[in-house]
Amino acid sequence: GGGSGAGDGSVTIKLAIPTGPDAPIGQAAKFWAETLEKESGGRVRVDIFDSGSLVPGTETLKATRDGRVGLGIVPNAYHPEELAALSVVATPYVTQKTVVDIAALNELAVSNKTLKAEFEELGVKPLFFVGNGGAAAVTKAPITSLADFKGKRFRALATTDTMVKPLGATGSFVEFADVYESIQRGVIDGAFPMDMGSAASASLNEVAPYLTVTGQGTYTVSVGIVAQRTYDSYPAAVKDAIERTNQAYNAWVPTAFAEYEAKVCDKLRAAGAHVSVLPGDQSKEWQDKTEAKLNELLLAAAAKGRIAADDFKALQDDYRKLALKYESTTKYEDGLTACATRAN
Amino acid sequence: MRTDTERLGADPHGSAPTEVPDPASTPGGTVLDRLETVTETVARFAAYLGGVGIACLVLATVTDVARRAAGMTSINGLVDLTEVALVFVVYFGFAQAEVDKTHIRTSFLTERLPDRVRRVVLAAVWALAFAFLLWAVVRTGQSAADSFHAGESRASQSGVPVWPARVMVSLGLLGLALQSLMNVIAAVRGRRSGGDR
Amino acid sequence: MSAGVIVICAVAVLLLLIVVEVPVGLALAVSGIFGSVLLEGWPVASDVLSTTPYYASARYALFVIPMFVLLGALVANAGIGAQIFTAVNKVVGRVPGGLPATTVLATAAFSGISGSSAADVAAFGRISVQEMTRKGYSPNYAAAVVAAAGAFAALIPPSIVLVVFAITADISVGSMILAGVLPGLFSAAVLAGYVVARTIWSRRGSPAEAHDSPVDLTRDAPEDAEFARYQQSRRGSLIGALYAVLLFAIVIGGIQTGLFTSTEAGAVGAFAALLLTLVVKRPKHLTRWAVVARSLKETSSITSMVFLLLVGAAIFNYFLISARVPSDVAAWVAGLDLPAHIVLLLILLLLLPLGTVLDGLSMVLVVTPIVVPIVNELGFDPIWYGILLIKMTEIALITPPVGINVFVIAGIMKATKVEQIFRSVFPFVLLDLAVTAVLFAFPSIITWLPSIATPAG
Ligand code: NA
Ligand code: NA
Repeated sequence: GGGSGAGDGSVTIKLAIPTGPDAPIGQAAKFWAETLEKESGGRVRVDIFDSGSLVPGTETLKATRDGRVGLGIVPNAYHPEELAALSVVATPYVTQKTVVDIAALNELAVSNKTLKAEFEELGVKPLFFVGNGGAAAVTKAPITSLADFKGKRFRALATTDTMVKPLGATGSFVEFADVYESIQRGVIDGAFPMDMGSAASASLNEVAPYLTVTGQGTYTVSVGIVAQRTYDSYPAAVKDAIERTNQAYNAWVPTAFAEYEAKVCDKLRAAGAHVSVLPGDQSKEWQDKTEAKLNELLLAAAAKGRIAADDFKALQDDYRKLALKYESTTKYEDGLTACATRAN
Repeated sequence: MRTDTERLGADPHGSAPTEVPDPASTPGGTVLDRLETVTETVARFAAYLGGVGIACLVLATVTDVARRAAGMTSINGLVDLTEVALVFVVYFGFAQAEVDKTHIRTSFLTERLPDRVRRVVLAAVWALAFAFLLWAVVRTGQSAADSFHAGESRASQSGVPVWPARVMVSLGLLGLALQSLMNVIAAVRGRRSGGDR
Repeated sequence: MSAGVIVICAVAVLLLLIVVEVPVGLALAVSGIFGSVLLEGWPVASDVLSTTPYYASARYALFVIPMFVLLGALVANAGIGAQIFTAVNKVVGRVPGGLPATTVLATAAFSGISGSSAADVAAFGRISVQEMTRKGYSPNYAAAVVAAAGAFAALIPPSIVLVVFAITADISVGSMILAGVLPGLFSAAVLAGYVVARTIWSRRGSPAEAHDSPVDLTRDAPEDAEFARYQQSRRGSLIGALYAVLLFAIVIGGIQTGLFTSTEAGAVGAFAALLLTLVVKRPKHLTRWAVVARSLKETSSITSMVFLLLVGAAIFNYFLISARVPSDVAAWVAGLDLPAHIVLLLILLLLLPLGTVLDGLSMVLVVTPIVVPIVNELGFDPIWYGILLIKMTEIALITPPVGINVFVIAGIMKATKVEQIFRSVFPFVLLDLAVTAVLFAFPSIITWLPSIATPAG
């Protein structure tokens, strides 16, 4: 199966990820795999299957649950209902920092009953979280005010319609692989929300050189999961190695992600991209127009995922509190904002 | 490799398809003949439904393009709907594509075999295919049930449910399984089923 | 059992099932599940079977396939194919070798509005072979020209195989479609030049036969001579040519200028063909709705054929990737320490024997996940290599023992023999290999058009 034993206590784990090796998920998978192989003293071998080559990204949750995949890294956005509680990170205007999300989720996965129950009902054990960074609008033309959104067509994710409709813009779905071409040919005017790393990985700056930090903050997260029964079948030594690997990973993430974002920023700037921040009053105006609606949307998804409204609101409150706590303690600086404020 | 040339538009004059007399319509038609007529009628009807689905998808997409060109908004959730509808279109045609032998295959070896040997080989192979497809019908059916209970929907704001498409997958495979069974029967009876009759 | 032995067993089962007449898509599924059972056990294999048929088919990008099929089916069923043939014949029919050249160029024109090579062959098979035979060409040579024309023109978009490659390799469908235009036209032009040259060469000293005269469709359709006369009239041919140009312009022009995405282009093209079907003069015995209904039913059936292959290949590829075949092959290739160009060339040549048992689409589906990582690793453009790869699979359409184009034309023209067509088609195989070598040496023939597509702004 996904984690197959050879009788001598050695284990091979198939790790499936939806992105290429250079995206944050790919980097996280590589670090995690190499660390576990080292921590287990060579008893565990981890084979990484990237870009959805083994199972498509949208299928990875199911494949991990049933054992085709030993460890899957799954974005919450692929499963708005099944991962409705995890989608608490999509709560807008909380934090710009992926690293804060990760710290908060590590704690919530243990302390919050709703998030805990979600993973338990799926029969999976969350091991670690991977973030993408804060939301930016990636566009052909510069955006300096909300008025610049009017009439634009965006490549949409789940919440795009709700966010851009009040600004007179529209969203339509385009496969990630086709975003570049669709912008180039004028089928869409840009993509929103989009993180810096994804934009750079698809070279979107060649056709849409303007990245604008819009202020909603982080909007998605991915979780590394293993089926609970697969995990239970591992020898104690392997479980211990996994624990140590997770600790090493969480210590590694803040600096590694900062370095990653700095590299992406260099690449974008060298290619002539313009990174800027939407002015504060504009961001505030947008928040007033959409925050309540976005939260309604999250609640509706939670309801579909059979989470009581009060439970989800309690989870949101916990998330906000923890985010606030880690905002003040982390040394990590949001790379997207840093990229915008660096002298052009 | 046999490919149904008539169906690929073989005739530039666009002449009428040649009607093959249906043995089941003759007074002496057996139960098996009647079974064949029924399965083929169902397959043909399903293929027409698939065709209607394709026509609807064409119209919906063209409408969407026109709306966008006119500066209006895209039809909400059309992409999700199209993906799910595509599954219906595809699996509606599965059985008919076996009836008219459109599914790509090669007979360069089997047609050189003595008739009896060929019939035995085909009966065995299609029996295997029938068993495999039945397994697939059961497993995809279970995944459709899981999808229904989990309330699985498209990962976007449209919330288009996925389970009807998963049910359709199972039904389409069932159609192909039944045609496999008909192929076994045809091989045992010493004639080819479907369009090659 | 080691993974290597299991892979060999699964491939053996695949080949065995294919030669005993199991549909290739089903054979891929059965052998993929068989391999998964050996490699990972029943529960995993059973789970693969439970969800792959859904997720391999529920992809928006694949929606373009029924659209391309419908476009070609409508045009063929409305009898526009013959009008395209006579239109081309009016232009090139009087040069030596005019008829085979007509066949090649009409097939190329039809390929510009149809998504599958076999459909192109089917569209012009009968008319081409009948006319060429009448003018003294051997039926087998005539059939070989038709089969080759289908293979040479296959890259001209719309093309299902281009779409499938792009999706499997995770690259832009639109760029892939644009990349096929020039190589397809180039191949067709080379083939047309070759058949003309060959006719001149073989007819030296016999001036009476040196010129082909115009075709006459009425002889083949005495029951509807009026429509046949219309099809070959100046007006009918002109309308046929206009339709071909119009539909090609809608699909390719729409993508090139950014009016719509490649997927939408298929739907808009099919819609235009639908409207044209409702206004064109049609054969007496077919009502408008009969043309539409027949085209829709055909499209449903052919779409299902393509998707059975997609599903089967997805299952088989799950097994291959689980067994780490692509990464092991890539590592092995890297370890060979050969110059990158030689590696890429060797891979292309390895496709030829594979083409003896698999059809073009199945080959693309099975080979792409193994080859594309190598191409990326070596730092080459997957669009360029994809066109070369597809070119090789199209050559496989006319090589024995399994050459679909040859089977299709042999199926249409009972007077021809498969073995003899294969013999006559052999020079075309060499010619197509030469064309592929030119495309390999001059990548800009492939990459130029996608690179100049309407830029942003
Ligand atoms: Na074509
Ligand atoms: Na071949």
